[in-house]
Amino acid sequence: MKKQGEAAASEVQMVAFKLENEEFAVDIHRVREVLKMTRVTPLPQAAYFIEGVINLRGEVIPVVDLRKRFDLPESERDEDTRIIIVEIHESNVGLIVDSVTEVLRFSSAAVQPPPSRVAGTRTDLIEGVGKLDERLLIILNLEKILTSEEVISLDEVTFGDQPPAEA
Amino acid sequence: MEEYRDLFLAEAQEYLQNMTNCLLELEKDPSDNDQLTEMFRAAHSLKGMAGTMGYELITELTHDLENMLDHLRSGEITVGTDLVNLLFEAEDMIRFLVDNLESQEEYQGDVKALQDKLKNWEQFSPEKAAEAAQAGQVSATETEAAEDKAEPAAKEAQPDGSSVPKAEDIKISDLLNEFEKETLKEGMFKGENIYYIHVKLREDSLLKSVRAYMVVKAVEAQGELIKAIPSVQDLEDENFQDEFTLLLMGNPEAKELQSTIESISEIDQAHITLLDVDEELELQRDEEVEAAAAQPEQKEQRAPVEEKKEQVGKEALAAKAKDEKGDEKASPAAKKSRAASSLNRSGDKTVRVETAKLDNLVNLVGELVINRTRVVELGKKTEDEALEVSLEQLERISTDLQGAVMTLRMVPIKQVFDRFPRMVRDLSVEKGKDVNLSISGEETELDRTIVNQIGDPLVHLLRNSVDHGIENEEVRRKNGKDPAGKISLEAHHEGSHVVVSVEDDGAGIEPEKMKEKSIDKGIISREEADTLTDDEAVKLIFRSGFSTADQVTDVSGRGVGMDVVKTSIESLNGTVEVRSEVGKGSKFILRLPLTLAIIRTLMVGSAEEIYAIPIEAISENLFVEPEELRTIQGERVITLRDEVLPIYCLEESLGMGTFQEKEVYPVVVVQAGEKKAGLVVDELMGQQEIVIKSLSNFIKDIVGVAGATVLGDGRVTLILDVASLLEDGRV
Repeated sequence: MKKQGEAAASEVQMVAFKLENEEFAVDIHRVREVLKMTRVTPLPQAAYFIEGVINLRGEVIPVVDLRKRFDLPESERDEDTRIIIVEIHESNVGLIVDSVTEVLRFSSAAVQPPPSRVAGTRTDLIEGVGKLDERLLIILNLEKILTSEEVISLDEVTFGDQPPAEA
Repeated sequence: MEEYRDLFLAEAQEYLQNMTNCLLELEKDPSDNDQLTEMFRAAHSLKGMAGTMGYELITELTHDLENMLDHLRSGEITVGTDLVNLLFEAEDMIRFLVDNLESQEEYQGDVKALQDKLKNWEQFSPEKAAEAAQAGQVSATETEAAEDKAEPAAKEAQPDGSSVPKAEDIKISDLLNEFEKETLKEGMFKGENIYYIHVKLREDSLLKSVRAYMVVKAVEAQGELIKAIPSVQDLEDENFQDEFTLLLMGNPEAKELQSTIESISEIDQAHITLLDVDEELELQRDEEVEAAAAQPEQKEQRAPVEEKKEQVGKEALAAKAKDEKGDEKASPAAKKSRAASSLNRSGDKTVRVETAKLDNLVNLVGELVINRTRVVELGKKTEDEALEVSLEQLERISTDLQGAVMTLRMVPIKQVFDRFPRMVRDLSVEKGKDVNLSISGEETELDRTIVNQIGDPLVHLLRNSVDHGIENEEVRRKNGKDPAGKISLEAHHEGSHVVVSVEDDGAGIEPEKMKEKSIDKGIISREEADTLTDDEAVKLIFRSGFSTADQVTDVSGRGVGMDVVKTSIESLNGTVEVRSEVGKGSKFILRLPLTLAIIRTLMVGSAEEIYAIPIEAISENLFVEPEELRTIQGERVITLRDEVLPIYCLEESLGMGTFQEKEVYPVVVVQAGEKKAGLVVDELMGQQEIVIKSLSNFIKDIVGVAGATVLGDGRVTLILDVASLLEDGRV
């Protein structure tokens, strides 16, 4: 569902994806490509959440399993599983997600910084929150999440059942 | 306009270098009109570019320079040292402005002054030039501040010194003009000696001019003749009594030189003094210069002159305070930019290409080669003769293409070596040691990416040699060594490798000292130390955390050096070795592959994945029966022709699986440096040439993996880093 943008104004386009029924979004300018799941060559002794590397038209790109990153139980990879290739720190990284839902347009007003303090949530790992009707899409701080070495659980990057208080 | 700035800078440098070269040639041969024309062309182009970019000062100055050249061309003025000096000055100023595009405006005053001089071109008309040349001093440019003094090393004490001027009395500035002084400075950078040779002919000599000529020839064979007094012309015309003086720059043995000269018939005697020319010669450099050997007491450090400096050598001098020394008299640009590298004149023979484009081309050719291999494989399956013939041709052409493209990436190692003479010189002065650096094989070519990365390790090795290797003078003398230390930097091709070595004749590396220090630093235990051979002890220098410097100097001694050198070289798929003899010296040998991009590998299967092992790391393949496997202290080994070879299971080493019992074990024996081991794999799959793809920064530091490649079927295959696998053994 797309919301009609208000008069001209700046719009932000995002790619929405799902992890264990939580919805997230990534700025479309950072998304290079979305692929179907493909054969991944494992990397010995890389961090636990690094699935391995894939070949994208001659470029060798590392792939992160976001489920593993957020300490989620492994699940069957199915028809919906996708790899989103994003640009981080000038290199490309693939993210394995449960599904990619759609490309959404948000008016810039609808994108807000994360609330400063919500119990149980690592707001430093969240770049912002996009509101769309009843949906709340969390925009992750990918750089931090992928470079951090600590274990992060999904709860820490979502808001549970409570919508966050307005900042 | 700013987007063109880089282009402007690059081209400006080329033009300026071009002009420098032309000017030098022109000075040697004023009649060479080609040089003049070329220089004019370069200046003209530079002017045009600067004008387009809107750099007014540069445009104006170049315009004035062009004018001068024009007057030269039309014969209204003639080439003389003063003119050349002025032209050099103008060029230096232009170069300076180019280097300082942002702050150009500040130098308007200087530029104006220079322009005035250039406008006063008539002073260089033939008549005026003759007058000026006589005096040998350029009036307008520099004020001669201090007295110039040269002090001798007094190597040969000649009893009969009556007619020989005492070396202290020799005032270099009185003898030389500006250009000659510059040449001297150049030479001194390169560590050359200056000899003052006074020759006396026998009074009854008949063919004085001939004898003089022979002396001159003999002297010229040993170095560069800077000056003859009276001039060579006068010598040939016999316009002298029976004595003359020569100033030679070079590094011959003084005694030998003397006997060579004295052996020419009718030469009465030759008196050679080694000149210690110091800063009072108005060298606008940062430290005192000294001739080799005999004068330790003259090592006072003088306050260096503020000057534009190159990056290299900066760290060594960063600590020193810098004074302004009469900056009004010096042109701010580095005069030594003139003395710098002799780049080949590019002219129309080269094309400037962005490195990104080149890399792309190399990549594409690499892919082409891979696919060709595949096509050839598939082709073999059909029995079509015509196809086979075509494929053979395809193979040949693509191999040639590959070769040609590879050479695109090759550059001579000279660009790296060029900066070392200055660096070693600065460093040796700082350390109060006398060190001569000799360089050979600088035309040896290697892959551009390697050249970029080999600089730092070499800097470190050289610094180490100067700092720790070469002993100070007293110690050297006591041990009967030449007080001047010698470091040789050399490069050559050896098969598919480039070998670069740094050798010094210093103190060498002491195995015992190494062991002690390692134990102290906790790098090894005493028991381990006891088992080491001398060679192994010397190699301890490559362990991290190691440094035998008792003090950490700002140059070396922090204990992070040698191991970094080793890892850098290994990351280029190279190896580093050290050979050392106590009291005699040390030699560090770097071995690097000629090219990075495509390598031959052996494909092996392990735990359902395929891995590529660089052929260079493989010494042989075997099939090992279960009975041959032994265990020593929990480690698996086999005996291979009297050698005990550790055996690692590749799966285990990579953390991808565990050792599985089999009927027969395919083993790849790999070697990295001194370490050797056998890797058990599931399958040996054949050799293949692959293109190395680097792993993204994100995952760069994976142990055991050197890179990745993409196979014909699209899958990614990891390339094993044998060195790191053998380091850790089983992880």
